[in-house]
Amino acid sequence: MSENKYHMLMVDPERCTGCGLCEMACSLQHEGVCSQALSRIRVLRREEKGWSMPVVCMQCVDAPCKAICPAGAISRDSASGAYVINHRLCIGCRLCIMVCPLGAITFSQEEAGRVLKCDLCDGAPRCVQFCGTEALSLVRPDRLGEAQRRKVFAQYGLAVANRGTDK
Amino acid sequence: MYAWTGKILWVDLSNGQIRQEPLTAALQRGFIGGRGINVKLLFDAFEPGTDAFDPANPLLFGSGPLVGTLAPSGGRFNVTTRSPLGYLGDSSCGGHWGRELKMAGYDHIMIVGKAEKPIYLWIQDDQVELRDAGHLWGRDAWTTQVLIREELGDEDIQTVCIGPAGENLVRFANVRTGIKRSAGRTGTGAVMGSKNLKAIAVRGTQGIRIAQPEKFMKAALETAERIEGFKQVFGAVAPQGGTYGQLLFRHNDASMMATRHQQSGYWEAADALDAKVFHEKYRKRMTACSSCPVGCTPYFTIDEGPYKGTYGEIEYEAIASFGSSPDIRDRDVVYKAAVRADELGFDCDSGGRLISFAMELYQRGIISEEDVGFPLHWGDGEAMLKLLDMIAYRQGFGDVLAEGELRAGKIIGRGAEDYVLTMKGVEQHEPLRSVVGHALGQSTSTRGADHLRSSHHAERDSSPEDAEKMFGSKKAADPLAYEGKAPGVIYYEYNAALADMMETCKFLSPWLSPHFMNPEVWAELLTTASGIEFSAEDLLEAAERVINVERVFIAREGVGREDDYPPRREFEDPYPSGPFKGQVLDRAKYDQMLDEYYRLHSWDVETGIPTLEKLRELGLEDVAADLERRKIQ
Repeated sequence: MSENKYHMLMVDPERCTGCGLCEMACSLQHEGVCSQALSRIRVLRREEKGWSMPVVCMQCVDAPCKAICPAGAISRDSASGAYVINHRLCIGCRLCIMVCPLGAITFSQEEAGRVLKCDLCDGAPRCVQFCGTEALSLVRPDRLGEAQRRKVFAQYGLAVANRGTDK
Repeated sequence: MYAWTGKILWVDLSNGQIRQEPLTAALQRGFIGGRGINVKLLFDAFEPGTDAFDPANPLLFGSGPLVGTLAPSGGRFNVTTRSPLGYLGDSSCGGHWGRELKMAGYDHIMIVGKAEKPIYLWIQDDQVELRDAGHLWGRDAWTTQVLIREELGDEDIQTVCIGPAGENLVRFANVRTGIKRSAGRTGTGAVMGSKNLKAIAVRGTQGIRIAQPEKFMKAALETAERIEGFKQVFGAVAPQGGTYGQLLFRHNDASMMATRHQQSGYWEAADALDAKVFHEKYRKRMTACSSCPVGCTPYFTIDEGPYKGTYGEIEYEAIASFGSSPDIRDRDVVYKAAVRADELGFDCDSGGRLISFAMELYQRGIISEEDVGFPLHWGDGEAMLKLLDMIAYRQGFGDVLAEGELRAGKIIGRGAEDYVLTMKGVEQHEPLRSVVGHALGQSTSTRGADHLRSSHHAERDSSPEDAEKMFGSKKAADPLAYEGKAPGVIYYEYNAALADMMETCKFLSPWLSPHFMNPEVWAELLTTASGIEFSAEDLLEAAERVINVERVFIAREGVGREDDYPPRREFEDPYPSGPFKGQVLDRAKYDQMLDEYYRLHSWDVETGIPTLEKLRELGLEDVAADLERRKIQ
């Protein structure tokens, strides 16, 4: 039940333009450099379809990464709801990368590589702040799905409503 | 090192030698990046008089210090070389390749020599190799990129490449990346082709270090807020974002719409290509270049009719090139042509003008069906599509047009020369009779006819009061006035150069409006990113330095005052219709304006060449000495 209190990082592929600002913001926030390789959020593009979208940790309710971690290095932040890695405990086995169904966990390229995953920037994600088209948004739990409902309402609900009055 | 990676990749295709060279502090401070550093490296390495297709002609690719960062639109790069079309070959490009180059650890690439057989360069961080491109030769620009990703097994690889036009040395062939983006003008793709270099594929896993992350993030966010209004009109969030959506009617109202090879600036059929229909029926999504919050590029598909299955992205320039200029009113043909030019890999501005040049010669009886192989009436879409391929593959009459308008006019003869519309060898793509400042900007552009070097936007967009504040004369806001235009042209020239040196987008620069990014904003972004103090004045001086080096580069190739004029037609052929009916440029007044432009630059008024004093004042002792040694000044 406690799940309901957490905001959700929502992705709207229809609004994503593939600019990658989210990657630059994420890596700068966490690493002090702008780098796709060090970003916790990754933009995938399919140019011949004009399509792109960011892939990022969805902070699963029943998180396989946390369940499988043999070192007990992954825990949930009670304020933001993000699963965070305790790098002092992490042994670098990368089982979390293997089991993540989204491929949202990555590994850094340094000599002593580190597991990288989204920590929601303590509740104020930089990627959301820099997204120019609101393809990324942090949504209050009671508002989940609201944007889509409003869109459907605008398209169909109002059309039906107007049918009676547009004479 | 912060902001810059500090490395130049140096490749000699003749012997396969590859090495890294440091990017010196003098280059960073004096020339910033992108076009600026490219041009200086070209100037130093190029022996004047060398043919563009000579293996000794260097080909440079350059990103900028803000590329691959959070700075809005910091994702571009310039391609710079001796142009096979004009003199200075230089063109800026968006997409994602610039960011990838930085991520791989390089600011610039300098390519010299010529490979024995088709090859491509594969850069994966420190691992750099030349690979066989026999299987890619002949492929179109997009397929080439797909095949490279498949071959190397990485979908995130970013590639610049040439299409068949570059391979066949079409003099206005471009360098392409993604399905849409090009270093479009001045034929840099043909130089790439002359070196047997099909592509440069890059994948980088490093990062750009930022000196003051918190301050830089704040500066980037504030910049994003400054462009919010623009985004709402031109961007992905707008109902009709992009240049096509916004510029078609705006340019037509200003009589800047190339119509029937600039016989007019007003296209009576503009409604036929109304972008509203495009956005409702053809556009599927909007896309952006790296780090750009605007996202001005519409991705579209053609879902029915003879061109069903066509997909691509489109800009205003392609609409003028394949719509108004050849007078084609079937929007499916126009969109198809835009995509085809992208696949074949040549500049739509030059390519579209070449086709309408041929149509005008046909209209005047200078060429006939015998020359072309088929009739070439205005508005014939099928003929245009045929010609596009004939140009790229140099078949029949296409072989003549592939030489560019200036050379094609000479080859055809019979008076065709009188209808050639080029400046410094580059096809004029916008009529200029009703926009005097724009005419001066295009004519004095160091790379030849072009709106992206200096465009006097204030003469169209500003109030007289604002124009007076900016350029000392209320008249500067009058598009037909000659007063206050020279200072404006220089202002736009420096700001356009700065955008190309930072490698951020001109649309977000004072080239369009001072309210978005400007020297102060750039200085704050660059200072916080690099940790080196830059003032707005430092940047403007660097821009002036770059313009002066470019000017000396073309002077060494023989360019002088006589090359800073629009074509004859702009002075002699009145607009036949539209809101500026009857308008021509006034040669005597243009002369005075040009004098003023040179004087403001402290250049020689007789020759248009920078004075030795000016060059030394800008710290360009080496350039001044070079000029002196060659007895040019």
